[in-house]
Amino acid sequence: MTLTAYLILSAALFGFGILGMLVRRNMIVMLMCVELMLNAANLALAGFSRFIPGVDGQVLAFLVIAIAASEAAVGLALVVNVARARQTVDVDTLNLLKG
Amino acid sequence: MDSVLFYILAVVAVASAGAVVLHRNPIKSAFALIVVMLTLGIIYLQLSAGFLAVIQIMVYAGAVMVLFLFVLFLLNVGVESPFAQRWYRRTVAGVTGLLMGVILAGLFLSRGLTAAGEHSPPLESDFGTIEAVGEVLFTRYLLPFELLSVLLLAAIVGAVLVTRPVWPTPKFPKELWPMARNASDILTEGETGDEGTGEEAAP
Repeated sequence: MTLTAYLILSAALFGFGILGMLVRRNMIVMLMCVELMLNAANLALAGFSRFIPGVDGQVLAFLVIAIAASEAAVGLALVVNVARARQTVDVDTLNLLKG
Repeated sequence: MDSVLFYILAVVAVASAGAVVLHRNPIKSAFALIVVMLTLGIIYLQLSAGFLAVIQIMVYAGAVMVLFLFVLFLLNVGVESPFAQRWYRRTVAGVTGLLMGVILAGLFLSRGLTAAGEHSPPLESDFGTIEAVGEVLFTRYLLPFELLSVLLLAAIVGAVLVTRPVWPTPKFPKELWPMARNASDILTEGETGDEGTGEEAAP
């Protein structure tokens, strides 16, 4: 396998993440798409770490995983709060700041 | 054999990523995302990143996705009726996603990278094990690691504080939230609280 194959897979997953972030209206699913994008970045990091040898890429991916976990915790807390206040998690209804 | 496995995993991962985006039921999206994470875990094993594979499956497919599913069940999120209602939104989203993927792929296909990734270089026997990763993590990346622990602590505190119901809404009046105390009550009552929420303990 070449590095290119892994990177193309990573780019495809990232593209799906962006697509989902823009097309979905459910806040929880949008957060899941963020996780998808972070996973794509991790795959690229692991690929580089294998083909340009050095575990630095894996350490960086480890840090990204930890940050993603804390992001999910805080993001879901916000979602729960929004759902409690508005009885919905549809982002189209959250237009309080719309001019 | 190695490349056959990779192609199977890649097809599964891309198909599941499509399901995450396109499935209208958030629960099924979440399960598709778990499949993506498991396939990525196996791909990490192929890349001789054993430690990362274990962390991927334990933290991502385990902890983070359980958190997502827990919130989905808690909020009883139903099936999302039609996607973005307006056609141009779907078009713009599709074009942006495609463009992002194509730009990234083009960047990755540039000559320097393809030359570097033609053949997989030989590795030391302990490459990607917990010892090798840990040694680098606790020497060269010690400061980021420690900062990360502070970040995780801040995330825990932040999540607890954000989720704590401060202002009762009509649907969830204060009586329904025995744990919750109104912020204004805490401010006005001072030290009268005896429910052990912790805030009153500080002198």
